Amino acid sequence: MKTSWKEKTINIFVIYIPLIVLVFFVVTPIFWTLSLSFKHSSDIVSEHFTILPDPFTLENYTKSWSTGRISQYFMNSAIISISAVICVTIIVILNGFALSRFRFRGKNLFMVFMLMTQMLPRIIIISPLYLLMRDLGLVDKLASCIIVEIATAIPFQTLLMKGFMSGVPKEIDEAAEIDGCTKMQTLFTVILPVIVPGILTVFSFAFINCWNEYLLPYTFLSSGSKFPLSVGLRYMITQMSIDYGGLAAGAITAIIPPLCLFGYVQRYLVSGMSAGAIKG
Amino acid sequence: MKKLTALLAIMLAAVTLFAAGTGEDKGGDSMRHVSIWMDDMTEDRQDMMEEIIAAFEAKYPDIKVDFTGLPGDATDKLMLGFEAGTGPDILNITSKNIATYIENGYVVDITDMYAEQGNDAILDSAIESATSFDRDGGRLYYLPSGTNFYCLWIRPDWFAEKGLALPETWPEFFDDVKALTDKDAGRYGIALRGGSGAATNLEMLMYSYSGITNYFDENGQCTVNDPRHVEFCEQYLGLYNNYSGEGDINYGWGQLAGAFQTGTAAIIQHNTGSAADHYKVFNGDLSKFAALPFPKSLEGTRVMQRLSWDGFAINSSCDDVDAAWKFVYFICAEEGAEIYNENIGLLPCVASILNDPESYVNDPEKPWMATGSEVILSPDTLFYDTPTYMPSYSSTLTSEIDGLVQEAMAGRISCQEMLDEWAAIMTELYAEEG
Repeated sequence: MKTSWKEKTINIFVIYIPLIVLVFFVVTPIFWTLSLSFKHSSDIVSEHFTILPDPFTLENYTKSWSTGRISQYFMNSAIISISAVICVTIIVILNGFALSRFRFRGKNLFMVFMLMTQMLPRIIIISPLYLLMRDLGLVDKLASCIIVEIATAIPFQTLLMKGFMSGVPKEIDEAAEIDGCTKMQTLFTVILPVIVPGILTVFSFAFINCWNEYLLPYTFLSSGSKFPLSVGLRYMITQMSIDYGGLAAGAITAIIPPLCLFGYVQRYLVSGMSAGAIKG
Repeated sequence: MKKLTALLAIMLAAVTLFAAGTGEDKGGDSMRHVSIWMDDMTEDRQDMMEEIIAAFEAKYPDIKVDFTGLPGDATDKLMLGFEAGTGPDILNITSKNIATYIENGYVVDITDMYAEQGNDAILDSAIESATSFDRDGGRLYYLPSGTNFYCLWIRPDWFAEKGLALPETWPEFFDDVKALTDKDAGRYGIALRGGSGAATNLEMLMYSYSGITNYFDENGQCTVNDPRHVEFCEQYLGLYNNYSGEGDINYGWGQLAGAFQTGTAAIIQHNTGSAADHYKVFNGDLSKFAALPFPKSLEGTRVMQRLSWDGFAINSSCDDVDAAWKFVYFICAEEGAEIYNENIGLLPCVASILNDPESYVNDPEKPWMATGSEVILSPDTLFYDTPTYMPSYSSTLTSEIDGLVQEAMAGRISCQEMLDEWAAIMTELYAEEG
C-alpha cells in the first residue's frame, strides 16, 4: 500500500526530525570526545578552533598507555567488573528460579523489600558500608568493591531475571520432571537455554553498572595502583587545569569494552528486554 | 548440583584469596611507617612525590613513607577516613578545610615541634597565617609549604597593540578594559567570573580597590558593604555584557581559562597556579600572557587577600608523630620544599628559596613567580584579614554569595542590595564562628 503524502509529512515531523535531533544530542559529545582525543594538547584550547583534528595525532593514546597508568586502571576495572558480574549472574539465576517457580511464605514481601533497596541513593549507605569493609579488613582491596557491587546489583537483577523465568511456561518444567529431571537439572538443562537473552541482558546491565562505578572504588580504595578507570581518569583533572586530550583518549578507551559487549549482545538484548517487560 | 556447588566454592575461594592477596603485610618489619594522602594529584605530581619520598628515605633510612595520591578534592574521603580511623598519618592542607579539621580535633598541634626545630626557615607571615586558623589560642596545626599569588592574567601583546600601559590604579584598569574591547573582532577587555567562585574573586578585588584591611569592624559588622565596595561593584559588574561576554554570568574557572586562552578575553583574574596551563597553551610565548598584581587601592596601597598557605598536617590518630613530623618538615622547609612547590606551581614559604637567584622563583622563564615573590615580600603590600578561620566561610561564599553576585550581574538586584545581604550573612556567621 502506498503511503500518502500526508502520512509521509507526519512521519517526517513526528518521527524522523525528533529522532535526528535526539541522535544529534547523543552523537555530538561522543564525536567531540573522539575528535579531541586525536588532537595535540596545544590545539585543543587555542585561538584557532577546528572541529576535526588537524594535525591528527595518536599522542594522547600512546602517552596514556605508555607513561600513564591507563592500562593498570583498565585491568582493575576488568577484574572488578568481570568478577562481580559472573557472581551476580549466577546468584540471580538461582534467585529468579526460586521466585518464579516456588511458592513460599513472604515471597511478595521479599520482592517488595528487594525493590525498596533500589530506592536508597548509594551515597546514603556509603559510610556504613565503608565501616563494614573496615571491620572486615577489606579497605583498599579490590574485593571490597566486588562484594558491594554484587550485593547492590542482586536485587534489581533478580527481579529482572524473575521476569524472564516467569516467561517460560511451567509445563516445560513438568515435562522435564516427568522425564526424571531434578529441580536443578530442570533449571540448567531446560530453562537456561530458553532464557539466554535474559541472561545476557542481566549480564550487560550489571557489567555497565560495575564498569562505570565511581563512588564505591573511590571510597573503598586508597592506593592509586588499585583504582579502576572511572577513578583513574580523574587524575587528569586538577583544580587548575584539565588534560582534555588525555581525558578524551581515556574516555574513548573506557567505552570500548561496553561498546563491544553491546555490539555482541544487541540482538539478544532487544528481545530479552521486551520479554522481561511483558511477562510478570 | 555438584557442578554448581563446586563453581560457587571456587568463586568464593577466588574472592577470598584475592582479598587476602592484595593486602600489604607490614608485620615483622622493623621500619617506622608513615602514610600520606594527597589530593588533587596528577600522574606527574605522583612522580614528583616519589622523588621527594626517595630523598627523604635516603636521609632517614629507618622511616618508610607510604604515599597515596588521590585525584580531585578528597575532603569527603579524608573525613570518612578520620571518622573511621583509617585515615593517613599525614595529609595535605588548604585554607578551605583546615579550620574544620582543627575544630573536629583531626589534626595534631605541632606548635612545640616547630619551636623545637629552632630556626626561622619559614616566613613569619606564613606561620602567623597558619596559626590564625586556631581561634582558641593561636596554635599551629599545620606547617605551611607554599601559596598561590592572586593576580590578573593579561595579554601583554594586546596592550602593546593598543599602545596601552599596564594599569597601576583601578581607574586605569577600567579604562584599559574598555579600550581593549573589540566586539567585532570577538575580543573582550575582560572575562568575569559569574559562576562558581564568583564571590571569592569579587571579594579580593573589592578590598584591593577600597584599601580596607579589616573584614569585620570592632563591632563585629562585616565591612563588605562599605560604600567604596558598592562603587567598585557598580563599575566592575557593570562591565558585564558591555566589555565582557554574555556567557560570563555562568563562568567558573574552566570557562574563564578558556576565554583567556582562546583569545576571547584580554584580562582574567586568577592566581599563579594556572601559569603552567597558560604556558602550555601559549607554547611558552611570554608575550601572550603575564601576571599583573592587583592595581593599587584608592588609598594608594596594594591590598591583597591574606595569603592562604597550603601545607601539611599530622592526623591525630598517627602512631608515630615524630616520624610524621620529620616528613612534614622535610617537605615544607627542607630539601623537599623546592621540588614540591615548583611542581605544584606555588610560591614557597621558605625565605632562602624565595631569595635564591638560582631557584625556580627567579627563573626568567617563569616571570610570574618573581612578580608574586616581589609583591608578597614587599613591606608596602597590605593583606586584609580574610576570615578563613571561620569553618563555614568558604562554603558560605560558594553556597550563598555566589548566587547573589550572579543576580547582581543579571541586574535583578542592585550592588548595594547584594553587598548588604552579603554583609548580613557574614556578620551573622562571625557571631557564631568568629
